Amino acid sequence: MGTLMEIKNLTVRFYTDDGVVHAVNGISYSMDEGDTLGVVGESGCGKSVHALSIMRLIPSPPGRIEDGEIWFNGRDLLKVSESEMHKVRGAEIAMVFQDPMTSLNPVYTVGFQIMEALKLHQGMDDHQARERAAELLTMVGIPEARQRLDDYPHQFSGGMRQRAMIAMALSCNPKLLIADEPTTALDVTIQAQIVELVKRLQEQLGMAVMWITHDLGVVAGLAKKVNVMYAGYIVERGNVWDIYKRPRHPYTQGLLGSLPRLDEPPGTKLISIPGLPPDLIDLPPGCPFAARCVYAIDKCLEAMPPLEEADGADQHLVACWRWEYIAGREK
Amino acid sequence: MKTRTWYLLAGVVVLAAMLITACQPQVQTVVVTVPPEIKEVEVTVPVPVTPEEEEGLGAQCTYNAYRMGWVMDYADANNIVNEVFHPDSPFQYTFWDDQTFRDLVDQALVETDAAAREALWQQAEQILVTDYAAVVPIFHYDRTGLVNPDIEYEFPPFGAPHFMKWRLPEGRDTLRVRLGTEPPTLDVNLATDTTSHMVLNQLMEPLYRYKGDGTIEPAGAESYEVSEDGTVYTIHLRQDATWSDGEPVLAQHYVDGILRLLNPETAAEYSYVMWYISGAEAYNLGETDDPSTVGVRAVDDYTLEITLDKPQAFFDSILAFFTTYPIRLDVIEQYGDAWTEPGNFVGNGPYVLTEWAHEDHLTIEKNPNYHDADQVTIERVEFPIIVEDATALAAYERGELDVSGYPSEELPRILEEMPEHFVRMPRPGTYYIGLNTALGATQNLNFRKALASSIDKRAILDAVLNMPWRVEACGVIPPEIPGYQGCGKVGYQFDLDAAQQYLQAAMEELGVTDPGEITIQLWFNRGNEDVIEAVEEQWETNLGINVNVVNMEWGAYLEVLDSCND
Amino acid sequence: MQRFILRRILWNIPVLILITVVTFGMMQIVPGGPFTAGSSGRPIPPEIRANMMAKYGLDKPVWQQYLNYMGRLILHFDFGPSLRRPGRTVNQMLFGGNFLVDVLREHLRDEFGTAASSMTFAEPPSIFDSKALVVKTNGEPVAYIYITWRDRFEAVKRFLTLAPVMVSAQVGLVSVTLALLIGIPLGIISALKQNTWIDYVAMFISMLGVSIPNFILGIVLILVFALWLGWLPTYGWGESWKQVIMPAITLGTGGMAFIARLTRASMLEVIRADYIRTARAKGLAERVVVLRHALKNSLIPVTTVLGPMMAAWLTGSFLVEWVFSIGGIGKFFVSAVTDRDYTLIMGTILIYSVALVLFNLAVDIAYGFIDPRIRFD
Repeated sequence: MGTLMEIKNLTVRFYTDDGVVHAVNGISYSMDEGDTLGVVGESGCGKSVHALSIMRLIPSPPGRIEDGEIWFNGRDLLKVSESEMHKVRGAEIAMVFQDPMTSLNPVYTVGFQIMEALKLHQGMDDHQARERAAELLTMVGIPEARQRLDDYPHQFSGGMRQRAMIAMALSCNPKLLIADEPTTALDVTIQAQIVELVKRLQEQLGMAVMWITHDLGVVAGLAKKVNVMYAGYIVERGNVWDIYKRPRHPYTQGLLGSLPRLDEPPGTKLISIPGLPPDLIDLPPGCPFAARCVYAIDKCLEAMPPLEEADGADQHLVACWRWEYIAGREK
Repeated sequence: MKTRTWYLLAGVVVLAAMLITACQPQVQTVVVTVPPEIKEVEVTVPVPVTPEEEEGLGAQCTYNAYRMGWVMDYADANNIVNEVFHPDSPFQYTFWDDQTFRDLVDQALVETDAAAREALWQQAEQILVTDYAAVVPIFHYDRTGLVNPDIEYEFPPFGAPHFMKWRLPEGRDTLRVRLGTEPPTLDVNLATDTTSHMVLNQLMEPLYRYKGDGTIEPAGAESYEVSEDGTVYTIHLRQDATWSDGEPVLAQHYVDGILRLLNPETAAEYSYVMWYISGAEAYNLGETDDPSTVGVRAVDDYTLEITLDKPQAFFDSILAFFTTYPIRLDVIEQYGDAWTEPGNFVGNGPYVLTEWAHEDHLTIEKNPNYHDADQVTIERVEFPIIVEDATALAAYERGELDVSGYPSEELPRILEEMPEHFVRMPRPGTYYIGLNTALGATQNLNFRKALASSIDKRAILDAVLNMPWRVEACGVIPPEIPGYQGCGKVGYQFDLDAAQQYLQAAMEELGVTDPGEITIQLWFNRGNEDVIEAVEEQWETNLGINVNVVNMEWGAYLEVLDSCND
Repeated sequence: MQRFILRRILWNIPVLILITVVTFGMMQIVPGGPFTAGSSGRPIPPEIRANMMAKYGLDKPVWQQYLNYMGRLILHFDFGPSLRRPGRTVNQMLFGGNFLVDVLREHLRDEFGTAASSMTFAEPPSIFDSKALVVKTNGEPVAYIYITWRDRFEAVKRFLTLAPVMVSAQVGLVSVTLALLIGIPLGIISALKQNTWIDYVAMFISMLGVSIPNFILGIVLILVFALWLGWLPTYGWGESWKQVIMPAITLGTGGMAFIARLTRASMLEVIRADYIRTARAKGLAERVVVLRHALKNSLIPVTTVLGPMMAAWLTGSFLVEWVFSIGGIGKFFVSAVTDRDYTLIMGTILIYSVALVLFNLAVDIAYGFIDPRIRFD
């Protein structure tokens, strides 16, 4: 599988009245065609912002993509013209958002909103678009698709709406589907359904999926690769198995450690990470996790560690001065 | 946090300021310092105060002074001294009374010698204004407007102008006169306001008409005689007068007009003017429904006979009043309420009504059947209805109007930029403040004299109203009317020393040591704020008393005053 | 939807009746009556006033007057005579009288010449009649005149253009259109270019529009455009299209400013909504995003406001009609009260109430079209 997208040194800042928010700080990674990437981290770690910047949907008065390159399909998306981006959005890269009720326009039918993209990117006429939209709705598992096309978003249930959103996103066969916390607003059973749906669709259509979430359980069920983000940095990166079995970064360890596990006796205390994430306006020069890290030494406070290989496998990268020491301790 | 507290503080300050300014001192009830029973009052001029009848002073009748004005209908002092200020008149609210005055009025009404009559009216006026100081005249009215200086015009002192006497410059045949409102009606017996009459005056012709110098000349009539005892008027009509539809104007038409005016079903406002005619009042009030009991009849086609109850020496002025218009009963019956519409309306005047777009404009054109049609040079008169003065002024300055009014704020600019357009027309009448002789401090004669002497009327006219040409008034008879006496001869002039003397005398009689203990209520209707506030200020400054002013809307104002008058 | 409309109309009938009762009552309470002061301005002597009251039936007990009035109104659509304009009826003053009669009279004049002025109709013809009996004024029949479709059309056309209610509606309609045409785009542009000089200028203009009183604006416009420049007629309505400009600007600017601010505020909210982000993520051009996705949503508050605004404007603005001497019903709202012309007061208030009911209903129906979440059940 070839490389679909390569991000180099992406940096995004927000210029607000309270100061400059360093939302994304020089992250780099790549995705192959057909890949499934999970991006995890807590709220405010920059995962949504970086996804929006791939689509260049960052609201421009406060936000600015300061630096970096996003190579997609042979061109740097950060350098192309706006009208070029119009052709990319929805057609090559599609996005599904968190709250389907507010993400769909309440005054237009669902069918209309799906057909919009079809007419725009695929040049279909009304009849063709309607046919295709009905197909899409059926594909995402909405029964009586043809009638439902003329319904409004408020007439759908939460799970149905998200399916419709997915249908809308897939309508033009994008190469990459970015899902920004799509199940966070839904209850657990629906969540599972949506995850299954996306997996199935991915197999069917062969597209790459980036799934952004703070829920490690979802990532485990879906993704092949994972980026762990913290305070705008990628602190660990690798295969799902590697990350979950052998987390190398203290933050990842903390995240995993804080999950309740079925194979431990009930009542086992959950480990929580002490402290709070740093203020993005006032980022310390060194590792952003240093203030909360039990293993931190002076070097951690002075300089940001680079991503380097761990475990010899070239797919598992970690950004920590002391990862070897930590790994050694475990043995 | 800091900015928030500042906002809170600012809000509190603003609220407090609003509350404080809103709590103005309310109108206080009159401090009655004198028990309201009638008692003999020692005055400098010994005039006995006659006991009043039970006036039914209602609870809301708390005024000590009220503003009023009166514009005269015809050129005899009877119209104001008697019809307005007679103790029984429904038009005054002073509760004053005097037997000598009543006798003088009765005498004057029958006195046929003009000079003697004048003297009688003057004596009556003296009693009212000087001896009793029941009213404080402020100024005499006049009328101003803008008229195209290229036009030869004439404004008689009473009633509307007669456009048949006006002359336009060469090449023009249409006169454009602005009306400030839609004429409420053109029904000859119902129209009472100046706008309706501006139009009606051209469409109709009364028995006599006023010339520019105030004398009357024959119009529909040729001559008249009065019987020996002064009660029977025999009027000879001109024989060449025709209606606009060609029918001749007959004496019966004049009879019909007067009878319809008096018919209670017509409910004409000015019917009371004709109550001098015998049987008229009874007929008008519905006491009899037989019109033949009224003293008007057509002796023959061209002779009209009017019989009065008692001789009324001024009745010749009534002959020039619009209550003597003739009518065509057949036309009115035919068209009913629509008889005043163009095409239906039939008049005996120099013009006919050709167009009436309601609320928009009227047009009248020369009547070819008029007996003196060759004297009428203006072929058409257009009356656009422009309600806002400023708009009318703009139209006038643009040359779209020949006659217009103006907003009073523009007066200085008009006098400066276009003084030749500014016209001052006579409009006999008096603006005055009536005093309630039955309540509170104004029961006291010396106090009333003090009030009358402490108003600087000239200053009000010059500085407050900006009308230096207007005449200040000390009596009620206006300068254009025979019997006018003027300041110095009647009433009280602005004299602070005299005012103080009167005030001192009044205070002794009232048992008061400080003028500040005296509070009076001055009532007025909206539109007169500047004058009344000036009067209030002068009374307070010059006399040291307290004056509370009460402002009311016109309809409510009259209603309250009326209710007190019963 | 028909049920919804029907239900609303039925509900409003008792409301209108209540309004007549309250108005009737208030007129009795207000001091001063139609005949306290004469049209000359003078007080009227009490005996004469009694005559006048009797003539118009005002000496009867109040409840009887009310029932008579309502009976006449409901059965004959007759608002009664004007108390202050003797000889004129309120129907004439508000609706301009019977235009069909005018049209037929013209035919009579063509046919009979001057003799036509002594002819009238046995009964006032209506557009639903097929013919009318022409009689001489003494009652003698002359002929039947047939009422053609052309006559009906002409009568209706005259009503729509000349009737005072219609004149007021025309002024209001033009002004509302102006307010919407300028206000909405202004609001949208301000919102999209928030905090730039465009925004500031647009909001400044709005502020001016709202703050400057209609009266002053009207007179200033007359001064500048009619007197100094001479481009536009000084006053009037109905004769030339030029007469439309100044009244529309005078009345429209206040509303335009209000609508602009409202649209701006609404658009500011809408443009930050999630579904706008979705629309952009679909690759739609920004223009489409604004005009298709954002606009419809941001018009919802504007529609709310439009109901009462149209009711107020289309029944005549007193000030604008006053300054420009326009023959609509606007000035009657004030003059009828000062004159205490009871029948005219009732007439104007009923027209306004009906207009309010109708426009609010129209707005609610419009909602249903704009926002599918609000439908008529």
